[in-house]
Amino acid sequence: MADYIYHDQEIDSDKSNDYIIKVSGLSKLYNEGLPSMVKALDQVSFGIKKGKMITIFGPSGSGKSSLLNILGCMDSATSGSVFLEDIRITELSERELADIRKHMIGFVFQEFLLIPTLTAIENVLLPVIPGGIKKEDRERAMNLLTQVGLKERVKHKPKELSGGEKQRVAIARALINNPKIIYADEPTGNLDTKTGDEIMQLLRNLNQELGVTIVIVSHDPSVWDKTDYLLKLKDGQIDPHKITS
Amino acid sequence: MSLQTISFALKNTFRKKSIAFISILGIGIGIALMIVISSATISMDKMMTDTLASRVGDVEVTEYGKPPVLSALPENITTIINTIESKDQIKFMSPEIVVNGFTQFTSAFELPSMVNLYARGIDLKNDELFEGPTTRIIDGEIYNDTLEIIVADLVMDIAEKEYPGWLKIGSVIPFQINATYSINLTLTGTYETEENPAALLVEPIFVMSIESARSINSLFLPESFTGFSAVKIRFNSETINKTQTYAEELKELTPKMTVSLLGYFGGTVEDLLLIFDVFSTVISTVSGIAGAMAILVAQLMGVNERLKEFAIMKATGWKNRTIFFEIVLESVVFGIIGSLIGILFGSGLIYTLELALGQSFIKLTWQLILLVLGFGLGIGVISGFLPGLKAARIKPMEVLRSS
Repeated sequence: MADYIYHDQEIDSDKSNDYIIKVSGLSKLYNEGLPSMVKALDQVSFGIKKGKMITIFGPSGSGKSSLLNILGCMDSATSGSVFLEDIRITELSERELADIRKHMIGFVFQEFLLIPTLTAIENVLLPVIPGGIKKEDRERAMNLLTQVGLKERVKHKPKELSGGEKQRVAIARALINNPKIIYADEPTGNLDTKTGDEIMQLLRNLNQELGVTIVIVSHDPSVWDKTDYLLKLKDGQIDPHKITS
Repeated sequence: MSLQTISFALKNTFRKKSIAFISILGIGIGIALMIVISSATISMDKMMTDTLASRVGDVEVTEYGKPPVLSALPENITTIINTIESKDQIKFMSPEIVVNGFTQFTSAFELPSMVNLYARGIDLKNDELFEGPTTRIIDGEIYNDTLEIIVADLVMDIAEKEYPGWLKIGSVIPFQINATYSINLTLTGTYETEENPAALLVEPIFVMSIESARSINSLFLPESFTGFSAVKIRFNSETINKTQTYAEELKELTPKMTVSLLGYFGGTVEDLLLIFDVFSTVISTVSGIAGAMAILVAQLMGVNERLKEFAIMKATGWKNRTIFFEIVLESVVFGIIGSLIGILFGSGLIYTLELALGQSFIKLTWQLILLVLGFGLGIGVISGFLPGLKAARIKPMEVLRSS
């Protein structure tokens, strides 16, 4: 089986454990039944193997956000199914989705979205605050900040950090719960080229060192070159001619 | 909810310092006002209740239909009273003379409006049983002779302020009896007014011997009078209702008598307390609503500014419930700190009022402090509800993508 699957039959018949994300016949409709109905995703099927790094791209309105919302357990599908490992997330409750987000997924955003009142290490620990921060959490946060090159900046607040440093903190935050997948939405969008390259290199290193699967949504062609595969969305469907590796 | 969640809430509460300060100040002022009024109400209630408790079994009889100054009861009135069915419940009695026409002894001399300016002739032994004014001499001594008098210390205090050095122990003072007569009375001592100002409602301000009182009354009464104006009776009673039943028995006696329950101040005082209670409740409610609105507005503004933060919190696995409680907790911090500031302001106001009024009848109790903190907690929870829901219900990707 290829790294990408286009046909429902193939993904349904795939019994291997190689795929961390399996999407089958996924559709998302907005304003269903109304004249203003929008088909954001239309029978999308594909799979992503564990430990890979891929980029999803496409024009505005192609369905990237809708796809990321559903893959990130932050929205529901109209039809079809999405498996993260062997968990069919399209059938889970809001509460169960929050658990999946906490334990399986990390997010990195264009705007970094750090909490201004917290220091770098506290921001990294944000996902574990509700359950109580343990000693091992602090040690892990410290290790992650060291890994992303911010060992000397752990006590700094976001306003004292550069854009690149903020994104590194955001990446460390995404990794604090040891996720299996990181979704990065335009991770270099607010950074200059050099810093963007450094962030992409960091993501690649983490992908290789930790084996975490990384799904990036980006318009930036310089990002596309640094991932294993590209997946283009157009009008809510995967463009089969734009699957590259 | 973890300790870190609480710590996180504390940090966020003071993120917008000016808004937090204004909100907390608003709550503090409202609560301070509430504390002062509630304290005054509680103190007045307690004051009245204490007075009621100490006099719950006390009644006073006077001639039916006449005010005490015109009342004329027979010389053997105590014997008559002892004929009631419940005579065994009578602990002791004090037949007394109310001095007729004992008016203010100088027109420029003003006493507090609640004080009854009247004089009584009292038997020392009987007064001792009632622990009356003659048992509380603080300066000078009890009257020994006719035309000697003792006065309440508050009269001395007021006189000292108005006319320094004029009224003192040993002074012979021409007391105005009415428009026609005045009489020289020697001041032999002052007695301590009961700490409870409500006691002034039932205690005389000037006290003298029965003989002195009769001598003064004889100046303008057409015939010599050997009876008494009033009889104070203490029944063995623990409730006002029980005392009331004894009072009913007294009303059946001949001569017919007016019976007043000294442990019951009547409608006026109760109405006053009711007005205070209603006023206090209204102030508390208005303070609560104003405080809650202050927090609500501050929190709604805060939530609107922090939508992306809540989005990232949700994206990283925070549950709706946790975000909701986080916001409510921030509001509760506002409410509690506002309450603490209010308690401080309120205490300061109470202290200032006590200094201004020269008496400390307003009490700040632990119960009231706990009540106020509970109040702060309550307005925090209520005002945090809506912003909490708003924060918890955001759709993270919508917020994040829209940015």
